[in-house]
Amino acid sequence: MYGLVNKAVEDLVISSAGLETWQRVKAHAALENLQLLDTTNYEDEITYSLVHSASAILDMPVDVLLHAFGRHWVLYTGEAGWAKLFSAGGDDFVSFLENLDEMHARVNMAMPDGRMPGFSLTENNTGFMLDYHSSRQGFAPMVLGVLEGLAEQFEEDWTFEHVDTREQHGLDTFQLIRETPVVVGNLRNAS
Amino acid sequence: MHLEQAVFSNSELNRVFPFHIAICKKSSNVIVGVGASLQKVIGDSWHNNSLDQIFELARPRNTELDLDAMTASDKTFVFHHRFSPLSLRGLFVALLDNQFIFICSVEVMTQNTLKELGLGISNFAKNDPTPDIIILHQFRDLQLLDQQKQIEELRKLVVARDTFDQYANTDAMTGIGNRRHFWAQGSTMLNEVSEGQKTTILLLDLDGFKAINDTYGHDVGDEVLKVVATRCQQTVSDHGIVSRLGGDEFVALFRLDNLNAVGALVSSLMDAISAPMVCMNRHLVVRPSIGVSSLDNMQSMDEAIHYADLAMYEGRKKSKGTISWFTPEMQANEDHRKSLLSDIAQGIQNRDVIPYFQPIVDIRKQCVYGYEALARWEHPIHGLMFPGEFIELAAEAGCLHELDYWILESALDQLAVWDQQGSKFSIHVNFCGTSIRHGLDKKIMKLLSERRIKASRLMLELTETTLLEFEAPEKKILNDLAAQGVIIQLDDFGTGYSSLTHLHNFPVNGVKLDRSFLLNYPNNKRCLALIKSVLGMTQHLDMTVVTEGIETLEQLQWIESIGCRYGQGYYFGKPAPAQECLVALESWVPTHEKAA
Repeated sequence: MYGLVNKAVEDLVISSAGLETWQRVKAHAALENLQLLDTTNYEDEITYSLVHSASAILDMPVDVLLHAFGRHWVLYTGEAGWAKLFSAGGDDFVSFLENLDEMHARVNMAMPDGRMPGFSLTENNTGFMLDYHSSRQGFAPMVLGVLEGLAEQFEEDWTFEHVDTREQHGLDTFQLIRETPVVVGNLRNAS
Repeated sequence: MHLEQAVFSNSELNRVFPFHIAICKKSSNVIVGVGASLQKVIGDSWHNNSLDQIFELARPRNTELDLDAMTASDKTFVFHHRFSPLSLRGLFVALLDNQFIFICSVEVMTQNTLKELGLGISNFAKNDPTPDIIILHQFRDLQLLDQQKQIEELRKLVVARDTFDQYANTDAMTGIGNRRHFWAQGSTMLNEVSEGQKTTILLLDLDGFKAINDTYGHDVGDEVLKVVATRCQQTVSDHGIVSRLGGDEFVALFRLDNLNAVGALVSSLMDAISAPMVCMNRHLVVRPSIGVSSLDNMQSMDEAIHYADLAMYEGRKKSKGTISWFTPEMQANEDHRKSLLSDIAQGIQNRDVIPYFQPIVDIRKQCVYGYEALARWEHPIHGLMFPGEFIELAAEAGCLHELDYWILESALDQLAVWDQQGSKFSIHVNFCGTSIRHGLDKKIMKLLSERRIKASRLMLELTETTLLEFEAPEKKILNDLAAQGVIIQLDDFGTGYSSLTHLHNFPVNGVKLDRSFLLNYPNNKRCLALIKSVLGMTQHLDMTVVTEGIETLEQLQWIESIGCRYGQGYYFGKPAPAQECLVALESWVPTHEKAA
């Protein structure tokens, strides 16, 4: 993965647990001298190793950590030099998801060694279904965190459910349901 | 197949060219439609307006807005929207009925272009690479940041390396180069060709530096070293390098045109260091001993330093505070010394080191009272060697105690032989401090017992310096020996501390006055007076006195006249092998008879 991803892991650990903890994470992963660069493509093993070490040092299950990382990823990429691209991704949550593959495809031009994930959004009677395709395993919790982070970013209220898993159904699928805004007047009428 | 005419629906046109502008030439170039994405940016302002009213043709410059000509041209045209930062870049195609379409996309001027125009990726056709420019820009920015980080890391590494290098090559106390620095720089200098120049190495050691530390404290000592370092640096640095090797030892390597210049620099260094200095309010003068080597064929730093070290060592043997120049003879002497050093242990084991005996005479009774056993090395190659030539070597080789024991044993063997021949003498044996070890008393008593020799006939001669080094265990050994009857005598008395304390604190039964007192007899009245006073003092302490160095009848008569009972010297006999002693004894004529 590109260093950008590993740096987001670093940023998450440092911002939540401090620099010293990050040094311990690196030491645990036997990567004491690792100096991360955004535009360098690193072996996936480094990312896995950092995530698992952070999980061990922070005493946090990997799923929980990846979920937190997903939320942080949105914040991080929105700040770390990709803000302009981020804002070009869409005007709202749905349009952003619709454009996500397009955006990844264009990013792939700059980062040709990146193996970008794929997303397909389809509307159903309760909201949207989002299929997540990836050549990597185990990152579904991160997608859930990304979705939460995006909804927050666009200031929209959504709930998400991981309805199908890759392990059981061959594909990770998420149900996206938009919360109906509660109007104060309606509450009054109801009462 | 030749495509004469293409027909697009509005939605198709929008999907492929979301920023297009449709113009009707018949109606004075009025805009008749725009793409959906362009509409998003400029709104409805285009309605009923000509192209020129809404857009300004920016490039190519000075181009007339002639749609036919522009369509026929292969050029790319850029239009600025007159009411927003939008610029469009594209080309014209002609449709039927004097209608034209400007097929274009957004010209990206800055990374903020899309954001300022409120455009997103979805506003561009899938095959339009315009947004990619933004991504590539952003990636390039990240690459630049990464490069800056790498440069910064590299800079830190270089700084860290330089700092380490500085630390590793600098003497922390004085700030000049250290041994490591000297070896590296000096080796380079030695290997460089220096046409017509003399490469000189100089080793410098401060005399009496330990006394400065002991007297004024290490803080003052450290200040002295700093001053010396500065003076060395100031004197030498124009011509070479200076470093502190450790302790009070400095080294310099420099190049000058000729030996006269070298000599002048070495002298000025000596003068500079010997000049008075004030260190922590102490007015001090230190003087160095300097060894210099200025050879043309010094191959390595080890060799160069070795030569300078040899020169300093040789100089110091003669006098401290001097400049000594290396000569090839010094190396020859050193080679000889090393050869002897490797031989000495074997020499003792092979019994090549043997006792010679010199008589000690009872002046009053006019007879030989005893013999002093003096070590001689009958070297298979170099011949007979005296203690001055090998005692230090034995000490350096760590076999001095073996030598002392061996001489003691041999001397007692000889005494036993003389006993059997009917001559009763006492025997004097020299012992160095390191030979006084645990169990010595038992060993000596065993040797005496085995040879049926009374302990009182053995006199161990120790120097005052030896006594100075003694701690409680050695003192106990001496006391035990004295308690069993062995006589302890202070050798070379008068040349060292001549301390009454030693006479009092140790079981000393007698002293031997150093031979130097009788040198220049009878002219050196001061020495003669000293002999008298020592004699008086020891008589009061009930100690025996042996005067060494009696070489003439006059000296003997004078010694006898002041009441000294025992004497030793060439007048009575030189040290000789045991078998020659009795022969000499038979030919020895008592003093009075000789005088008569």
